[in-house]
Amino acid sequence: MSRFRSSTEGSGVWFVPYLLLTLFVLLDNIQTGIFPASSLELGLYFVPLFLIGLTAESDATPIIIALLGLINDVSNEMPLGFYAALFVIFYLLSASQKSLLANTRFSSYWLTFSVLVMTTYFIAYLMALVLNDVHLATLPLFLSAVACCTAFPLIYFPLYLLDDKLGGSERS
Amino acid sequence: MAKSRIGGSETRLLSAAGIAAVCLLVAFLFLGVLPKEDPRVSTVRQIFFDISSPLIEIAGTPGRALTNTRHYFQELETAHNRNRVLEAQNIELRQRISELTRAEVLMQQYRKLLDLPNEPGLELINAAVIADVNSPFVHTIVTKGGRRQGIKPGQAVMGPNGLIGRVISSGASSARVLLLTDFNSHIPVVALSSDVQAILSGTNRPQPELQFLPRQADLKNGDLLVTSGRGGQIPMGLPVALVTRNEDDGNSDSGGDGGGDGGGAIAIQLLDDLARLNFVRIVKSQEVEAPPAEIQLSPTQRAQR
Repeated sequence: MSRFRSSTEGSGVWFVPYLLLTLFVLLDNIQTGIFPASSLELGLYFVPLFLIGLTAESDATPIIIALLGLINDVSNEMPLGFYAALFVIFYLLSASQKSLLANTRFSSYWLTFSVLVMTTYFIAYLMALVLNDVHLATLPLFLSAVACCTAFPLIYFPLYLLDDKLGGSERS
Repeated sequence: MAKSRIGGSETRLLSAAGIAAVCLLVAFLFLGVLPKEDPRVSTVRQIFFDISSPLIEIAGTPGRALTNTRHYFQELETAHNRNRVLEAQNIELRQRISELTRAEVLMQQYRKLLDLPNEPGLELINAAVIADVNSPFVHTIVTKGGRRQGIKPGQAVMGPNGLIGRVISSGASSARVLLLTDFNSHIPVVALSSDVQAILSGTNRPQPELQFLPRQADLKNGDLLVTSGRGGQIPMGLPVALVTRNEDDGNSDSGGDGGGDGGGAIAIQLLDDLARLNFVRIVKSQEVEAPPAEIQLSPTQRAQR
């Protein structure tokens, strides 16, 4: 499985991860009642964020990500800066894996994503310990991280196929 | 961005990683300077929900429809058994109604004898739940309806069976409700059978816990906790939760301050499933007047008093 193309390769779908990230942030709090254990924070926004970290080369990317993190803070009743910091940390971690993940298999992507998500949730845990006005339930946080890692292929595959299809049609 | 032209060639002042580091610093600065409950941040949150609530409501429609369909079929499966249970409940409730009618008449007579003022009836506002801000960090919901409908911060919010939280802020068309399970929720309650008072505090877990429970408190399995009305904001007598005691676990208890006189660990069972709320009822409470400012008396005035 080839690497997800960088935003400068002109695949025409560079904006899709940004769009997904924005949608996941804005629609994170939809009341569905589908998940009984709704105290989980699935953190699906980490999947497009991972792809952005691997592909984006624009200087504006960290600023956009930090702004979306601030919006997530507002919508999630968190102190301003909490998710902004987590998003930027995750972006930096993902960007650092860019060269390592070139032309690797899907399992490597999944494994790397899982490690990065676990690290980010652990940082969230440490930040919650330090901040006076954030109190967390440890087990739901851990389960959220596991659920996020499990959900990775569900979002990654459609994005991958979309990129492959559009990129392929452009090449032909 | 982050570039400058020197002698016709482009020199980057900051790489993308550098910009990210600056963003990270700014985020930490926000965290250090702005507390979570800052009024300005709260206003921004309320404006955000006022603007986004129509979008969230529309986006949540398929999910709600799916859930309702699932519930419909689940109810069909159990309809026969439920009918039997409801018939039994109906007989029991008829008896309770006759007892309550007699109690009401007696209470009116006692009120007349003691010259007590009549308690005003509860005025309720129905509101749909449109957003569910539940995470390991926070437990809140957002309702459709705000100041225009008379919803104000501090008002009690009821689910189908009992209290579920209180309004923390209200905008023009939406209101944020802090659930009983949130770490910042503290509600004064009283056990109906034993008159034991305590504070029901959220823990960010599904069950809240009782704090400031007297050591000799005699709470029994199945005791109903109702609001005590202390503080004046939440009316007294609203059902909140049931006490459950694990009889096997007589030495330890989970009741916050660890009150209770033996008989197993105290656990609190809320009357409603907070993860499945579709509609809530907001109790319109009366404004509580602030106490008059303390008057500084001179030593001679104090002596005269």
